[in-house]
Amino acid sequence: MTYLWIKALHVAVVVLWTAGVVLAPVLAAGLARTGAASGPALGVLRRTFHRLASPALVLTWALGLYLAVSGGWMRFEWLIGKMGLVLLLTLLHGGVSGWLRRGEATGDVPARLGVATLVALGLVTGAALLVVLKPVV
Amino acid sequence: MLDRLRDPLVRLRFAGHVEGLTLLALFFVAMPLKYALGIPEATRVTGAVHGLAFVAYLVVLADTAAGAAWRLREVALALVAAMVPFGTFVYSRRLTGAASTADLTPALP
Repeated sequence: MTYLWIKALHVAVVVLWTAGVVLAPVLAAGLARTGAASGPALGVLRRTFHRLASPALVLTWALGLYLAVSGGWMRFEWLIGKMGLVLLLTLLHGGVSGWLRRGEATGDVPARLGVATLVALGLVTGAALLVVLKPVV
Repeated sequence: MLDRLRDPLVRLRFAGHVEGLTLLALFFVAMPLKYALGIPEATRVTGAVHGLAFVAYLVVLADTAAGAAWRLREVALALVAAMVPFGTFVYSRRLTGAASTADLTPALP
């Protein structure tokens, strides 16, 4: 029973975290396109990203590792693959945070932020496919 | 202390020290306990803690590097430092020498 509660909470924080990593770059690029990108505007975006997505990232890892260990999933290849994709998404989270901080300081949106959304979407889709299909190698 | 962690370089140094300490604990405490005294739990626990500290270091590194547009060579140096014992402590001295992340960033053409 506890396992299912933790699993539900894990899914909820994953949705919150991935929404942050996918949407923050889109919003920053949108601000740049409409000419509304400025240091203060990107600062608000960066702080919101940190208040919502960063705690969700920590909880995603904590709850996910608990589920993997307590459920005995660690020996399956699909989980190792999924954890690799989650690690890349975690690094992208760090990158988005840094690019937003640079944007806040300069008032410009780094060009790489646009690509970050596509990469994040690819990683999230890959992780979802692995966890649902659980392919056996 | 928390205020100081707002500085990306201080944050990277802090994450590096935590990562470095867990790596030393793994190499010089847990592995001898496992192979000399036959206590495999030592590496299981310390290895997991080190793994998390390593991931945290990577995230902080990605944040610092993206925020200051570091060149790839600097990122590679910080990465290698995290993989050898005492590496992050040595690398930390390089960061201490830099007054800001801009000192480690290539000048724009």
